[in-house]
Amino acid sequence: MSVENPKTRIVEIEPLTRVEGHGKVTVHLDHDHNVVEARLHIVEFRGFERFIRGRLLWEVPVIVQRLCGICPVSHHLAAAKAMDAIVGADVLPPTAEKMRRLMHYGQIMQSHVLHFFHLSSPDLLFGFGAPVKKRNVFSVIKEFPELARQGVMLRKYGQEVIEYTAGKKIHGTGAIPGGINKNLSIRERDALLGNIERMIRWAGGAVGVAKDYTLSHLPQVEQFANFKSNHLSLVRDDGALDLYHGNLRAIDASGNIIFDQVDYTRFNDYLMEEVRPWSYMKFPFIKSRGNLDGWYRVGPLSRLNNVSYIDTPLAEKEYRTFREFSRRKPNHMTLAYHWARMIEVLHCVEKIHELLLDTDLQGTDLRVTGARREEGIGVIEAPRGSLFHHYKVDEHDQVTYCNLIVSTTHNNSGLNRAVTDVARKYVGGKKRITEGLLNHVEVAVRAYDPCLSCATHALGQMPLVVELFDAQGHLLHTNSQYVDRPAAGLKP
Amino acid sequence: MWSSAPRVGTLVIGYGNPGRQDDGLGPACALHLAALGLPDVCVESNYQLVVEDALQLTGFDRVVFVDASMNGQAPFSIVPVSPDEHGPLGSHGLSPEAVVTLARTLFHATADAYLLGIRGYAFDTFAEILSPGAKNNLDQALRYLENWLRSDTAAGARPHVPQNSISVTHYQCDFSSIPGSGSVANACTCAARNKTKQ
Repeated sequence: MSVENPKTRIVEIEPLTRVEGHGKVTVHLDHDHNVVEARLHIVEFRGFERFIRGRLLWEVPVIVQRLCGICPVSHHLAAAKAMDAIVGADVLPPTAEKMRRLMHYGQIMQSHVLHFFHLSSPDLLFGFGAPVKKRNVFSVIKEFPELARQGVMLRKYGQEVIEYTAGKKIHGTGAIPGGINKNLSIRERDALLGNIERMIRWAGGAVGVAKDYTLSHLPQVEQFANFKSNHLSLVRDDGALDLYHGNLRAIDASGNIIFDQVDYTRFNDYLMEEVRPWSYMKFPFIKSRGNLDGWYRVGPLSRLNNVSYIDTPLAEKEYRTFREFSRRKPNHMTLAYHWARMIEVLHCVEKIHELLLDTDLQGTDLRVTGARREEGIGVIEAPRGSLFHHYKVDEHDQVTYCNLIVSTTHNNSGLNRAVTDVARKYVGGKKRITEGLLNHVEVAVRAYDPCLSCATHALGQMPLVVELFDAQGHLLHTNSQYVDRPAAGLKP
Repeated sequence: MWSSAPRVGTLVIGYGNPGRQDDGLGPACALHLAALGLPDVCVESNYQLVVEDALQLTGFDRVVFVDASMNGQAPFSIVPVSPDEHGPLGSHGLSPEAVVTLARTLFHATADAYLLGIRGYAFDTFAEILSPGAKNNLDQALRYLENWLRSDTAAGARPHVPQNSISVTHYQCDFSSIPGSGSVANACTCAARNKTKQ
């Protein structure tokens, strides 16, 4: 805790609960308790690039899963795509690409489902300011048990898709440079087909919950971290939503195209990263717009703002409703991330169904190679947004360079804007920061589903603490949302 | 789809990130324990606890969560896990208390639950290696866990060990040294898991 200016005081929220890893929010107040600025500090470990140097290209898609215990499949696939380029596999055999897509849809659906049903639903169902003892998933279980069970089973289904395609639930080896190392057996296909209708029905129901929440809480949704921004994502060559592969498209706050169908291997020509002294995490922006106006958001909301349509019927119907709601202009409401996220779940489940009926998944042509290159870039739409992997490999097959731009980094400016917006509305002017007010800030962060999982998860991590200091640096108030359990074996 | 499978055996879930030095103590414990092939013991490994672990608990009499401990007693400590509706809930990783609560409320699972915390010392760098101190603690925790599971399995009895929080400062047992940590593996191919699926 420190006070940077004697005329301001700082409120620190550290670390965030229900956000992966470590994060801290500092709210800068003046003497009148108005919010000057709020910042999200993320403890981002950049050591991974060094860790990966010297590794053999064949093991990279496996080892990168160590980076993140939340979305290892996204890193697995982004790295595999980059290594495809290095081994000269420009077009994968249909079986390989479809197996990877199946894996990816399973990953996105299980990640989105967990976020919505078990992390965000307490806020949405009980209100942001509800008592903390009520605002948790266990209250959801008590009052909406079927919804909670559907969340678990939808996620379990997604995990089964991953297990059948990646070979294991975690630390899978399915994707290899140039292809895939297994196809989908008839037994595996039938096991997944057996439950697909129910998954589609439940996913449709989840879209309804998110949509109904948005439409029935419009005054709150419209004023909660609703700010204009650019949006970036991959789109298919015909503009359709494509979570696995495509080209880059960016639009401005009014929906005008900034660039479109840009080969993602040229991302350095279009994007830059700014360093700010108070944060380890960089701030990417669109070069042509400059660092002040060129920042952008990524993820489900940006994807649905960006794409021209969705190529599965049920999700497309919901997408049309979503777009009509904002009169086909970009939807900038932070809380609309939840609605967009559930439409993507429905899309993923429909795509899984479509793929399971495709006999290419039982093909035996699994891998291809071509002219070797020294450099490869792989981009994928991960659950939280665009994920960039960039590698260079020497003649001994060892990695000499690695640079990753993860979704949460792309969203860095958007997250900070959201935190500032909410802090000004709900914390500004208050002498005492209650847990309910604090939770509003967390709700804004949570909507982006940031992944900070480079941090460890061992026992003994600190609880959420909010400290309120006056202009002279005196501690006025401490608020702790949860008291973490003591380390095993120690008395409280 | 919601019915519980017959309850049999012990489920051990070792969790953590092996790429984060001593955070990999849980998976390392799982890896070595799985290699022992203990009867009626099913071993799982993951980066963290997840909601579907709650469903998995329905198949077992007992679950032992194994995690690295940043500030607990060395070499390890073990404590019963009780349901806790108000404990912390991470974005994608759950506490053992949360898993047990979910299992009981959603799926009526009644497995006895314990948390084995193995003390680690190095967490801040990407490296797939345990610190020497952590490796030593892992050796002792593994010997303790193996003895406990073998004795209980042989007797078919309820767990007799930790009724309350206990810390173990040194566990003496004449077992050969456990090798260093390797890659994580899901090793739930044991008889216990197969029984639950019948």
